[in-house]
Amino acid sequence: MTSRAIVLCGLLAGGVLVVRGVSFSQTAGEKLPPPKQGDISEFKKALSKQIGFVGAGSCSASACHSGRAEPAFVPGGDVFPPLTQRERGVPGNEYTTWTKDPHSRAYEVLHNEVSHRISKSRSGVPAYEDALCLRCHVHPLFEKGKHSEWFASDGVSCESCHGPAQNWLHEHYRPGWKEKTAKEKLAEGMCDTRSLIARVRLCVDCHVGSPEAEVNHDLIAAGHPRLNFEFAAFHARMPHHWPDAKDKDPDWGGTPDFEARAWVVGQVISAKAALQLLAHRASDKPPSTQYSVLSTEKRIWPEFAEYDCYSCHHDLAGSSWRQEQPGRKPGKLSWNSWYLAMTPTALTLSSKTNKELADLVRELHEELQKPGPNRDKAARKANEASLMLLNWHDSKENIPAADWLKRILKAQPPEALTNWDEAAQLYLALAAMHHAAADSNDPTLPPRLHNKLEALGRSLLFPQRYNSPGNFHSNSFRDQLRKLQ
Amino acid sequence: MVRITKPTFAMLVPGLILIGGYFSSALGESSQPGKKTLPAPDTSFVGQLAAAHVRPFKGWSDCNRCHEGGIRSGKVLVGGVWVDLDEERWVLYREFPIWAEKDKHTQAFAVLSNDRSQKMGNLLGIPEVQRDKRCLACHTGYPISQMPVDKGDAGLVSKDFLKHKDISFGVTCEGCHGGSESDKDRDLKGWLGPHQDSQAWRFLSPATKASQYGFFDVRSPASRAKICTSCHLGSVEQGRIVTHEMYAAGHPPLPGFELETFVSQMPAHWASFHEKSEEVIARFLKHTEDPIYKQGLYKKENLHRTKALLVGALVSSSEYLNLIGQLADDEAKSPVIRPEWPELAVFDCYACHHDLKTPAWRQLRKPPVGTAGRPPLQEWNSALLHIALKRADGSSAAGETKIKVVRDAMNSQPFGSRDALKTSARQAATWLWSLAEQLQKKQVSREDGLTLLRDIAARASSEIPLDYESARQLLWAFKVIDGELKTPSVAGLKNKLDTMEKEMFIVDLRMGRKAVVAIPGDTQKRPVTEVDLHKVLPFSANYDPTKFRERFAEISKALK
Repeated sequence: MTSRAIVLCGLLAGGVLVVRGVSFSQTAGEKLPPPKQGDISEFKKALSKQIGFVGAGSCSASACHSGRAEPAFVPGGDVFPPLTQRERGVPGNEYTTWTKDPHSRAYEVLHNEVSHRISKSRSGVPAYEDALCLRCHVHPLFEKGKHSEWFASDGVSCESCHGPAQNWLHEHYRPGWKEKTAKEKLAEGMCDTRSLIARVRLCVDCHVGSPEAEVNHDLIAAGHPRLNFEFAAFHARMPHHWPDAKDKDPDWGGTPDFEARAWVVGQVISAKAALQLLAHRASDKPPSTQYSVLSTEKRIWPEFAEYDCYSCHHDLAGSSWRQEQPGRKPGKLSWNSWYLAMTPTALTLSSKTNKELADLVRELHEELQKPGPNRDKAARKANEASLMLLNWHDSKENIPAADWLKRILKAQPPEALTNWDEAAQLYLALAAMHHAAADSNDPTLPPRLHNKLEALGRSLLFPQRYNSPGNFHSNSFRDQLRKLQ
Repeated sequence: MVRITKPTFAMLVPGLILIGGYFSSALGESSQPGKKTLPAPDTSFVGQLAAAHVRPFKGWSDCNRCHEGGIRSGKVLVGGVWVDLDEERWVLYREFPIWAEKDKHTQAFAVLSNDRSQKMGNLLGIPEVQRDKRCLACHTGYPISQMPVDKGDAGLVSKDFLKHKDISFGVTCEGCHGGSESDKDRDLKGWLGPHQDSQAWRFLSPATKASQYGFFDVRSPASRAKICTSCHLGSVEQGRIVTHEMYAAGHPPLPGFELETFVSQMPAHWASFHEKSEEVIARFLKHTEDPIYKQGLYKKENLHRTKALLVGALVSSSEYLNLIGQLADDEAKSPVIRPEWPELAVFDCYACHHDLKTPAWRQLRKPPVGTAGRPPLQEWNSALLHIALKRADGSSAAGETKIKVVRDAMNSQPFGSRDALKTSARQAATWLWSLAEQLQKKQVSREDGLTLLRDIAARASSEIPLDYESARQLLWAFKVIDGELKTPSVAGLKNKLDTMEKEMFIVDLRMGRKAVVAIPGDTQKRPVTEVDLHKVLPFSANYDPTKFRERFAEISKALK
């Protein structure tokens, strides 16, 4: 690695920056409707303020976010060879880390074979030009023809989460910026990513889905993977382009129980987003869009993406554990319990009452199990339920993770676990608590629990070449759980 | 083993005399068949009679008096000629033992007492499966209108009804041939007496037998197929509906219906017309009122089973679409509580019910079968439909359009657009039925048979993968036609087909698990052969369409 090479990289990046900056300033002049009151994510709020984008190239100068702790260049190879674990998340390496983040390939995948097939089953417009696809795979405002292709090629890049940078690009490294409050920064277009609630909200718009961009069953049947988002797990797997220590540091707005808190906040905010999405899908009224992007997608009802994938998608068998499930009515549809399986537990443990919510959820289950569910009723109930979670606040009380782990384990009657989704959510909850407790070296954490949890997780793995838990058997999962308890 | 007491001849002879007397008065003075004094055939009549016209059931004890062991009553007049019925063998006089010993229809009621049925009852909240009309509608041959209802629960039959010895034998003679007794209250003549008049009965047109005497038309392939499919597919008006709820609780999936294969596996308790002697055939053709035979088109060397197969394919499609149309229509009457629409059982089971694997042949099909993600129509009954349509009206373009309307209605939204299905499905069904009626009057020659084999092989080896049930339909059909041609169409074909069968399909539907069940009122447990889903279902789960296509590509090549 020579210093010349680094300079070259910087120059290249700088060149791109200029071009991008010019191109994206076009959006600044567009007239966007003012934001309405309501629960909308930070970036949507920022978007509605008519702020333009500058592109990831503007962030990747070597002196800014594309440096390396230990610079390395492989001649003829990747400009950014894999970062070592130690290099990731080191300040200055944000962009470089992001290039190893699947988000950076979000656009690229729109050119692959599966995307091609999906686009054929839709309008025939290529996925990389399809407004619906681009909303999550690039940016909610991206439009082919209006914005340059090279912006798209970045996939989900810096501004997709941090907010359009036109107003803050040249401010955010100047003295005084760091002292600004989140609210003040947002006024310039920068989204809050420090507060956990805000962070989860940024993710759920795409990873759970929103009225503007959702993955419905038509898309899934054509080849799109199902969405089953669990914030704590996704967050842990994403290459962090910031120091993990910050998340645990109260001076940076973090908490020492970060993983445990991430699970709680993730559960609640994801459940809320899922309920809002259901309300949207069920409603046949025009979408009350809260920012500029109006989805013109026809809402399909009943929307099968709302249902438990594997309650229908399983090979038929001579005798099935599904038939043995307590309280199950044979042949009924089964509303997907992914987003609401553990939420009541999360709320209970954080001392929030959820009796009303539980009632509503039960009513939703009742309605949605009909092959022809009443959409008005479903929309109304889902909306009511989501409103109950609207004003949920993170209490910030410390979460004793080892204690919670035990309580979650004990609170879960094994026989009540009826499908893979519920089992997987339970496992993820236990895993998050274990991470948190292990990180804080909690002495009350039972020894060898790690191995046992890993075994539990393995029983949830799909067989090779399967996209469904072909050999998952709830009884054997229950047995393992009983042993753990 | 079913034990049924043989009647004595002493019982039989007076019975014949009495009934013979009754019949001559019923038919008027004519001793010659086919005279004008007979009522005009009701050509609008199709398949089974409406429940209100089904005559009361007499029970099989009257049938086995003749149909178990022969009548040996000396010579009788048939078509103006004296013949010994037993020698003539127009009737086998072995019908009853064939049914009683080999036919699984005799176990239809018995299986309601097995473990699976009991488990189903528990899951569905049905305390007595054996008394539930929804089950008995198919598991006995009785029309629901003839089932006495329990005083406390209109959904159940009375306990006394179960004591009727006919019931425990499931689908008995009258289930398919129609109730045989006269109903004096309703002024309906039964066929029990008249059908014993060998001089006149056999020459009546099937429509006359049905409309005047309540005898179902089991001879015309269309009508026969309609009788079978009323259970093997379902019928709203007869209350014969297997719901998704029942399947989910454990009812075995109904295998795709193919008339000729099902008949031969039943097995047939009759000799087909073309298998009878030249003399018998000639006599029949001379006197018959049956429109299929009397037009002088009949040639013994033609392919009659093949024709029935094609007609059966049209009827299966017609009845399937009819079922959808009726289930989608709240106005359509049914003697049982109608399931709520959408009734998931009408959709293609395996379109949803499969583990998700990569690569997924369903996703990769070109052109796609429907809109991805929307439950489609069942595919099996369209596998042979296109081939049958080509024979029925020379082109399948008109049919494609009519059926496309149904498909579009199905694809327009999940579980289809109810209003559009309500009309389009029944329109297509009516049209297909009229084609079936036309086709059964046509002849299928040996050359046609070869063409059909090529058509089947071409479809089976085409680039569009077939699902398990559709592939099995083609395989079954290929075997029936090839078998009827007798001279093997391709060298070594039998081996090829046998290997394919063994590896990929459950071809013989009689295979199963031997078990015994206790029937109330029986002193001994009854042996039954149960569908063994542990063996059956993996075949459809592990089915590989590419393998099927490759195998048939070889056959297709050899046929050219």
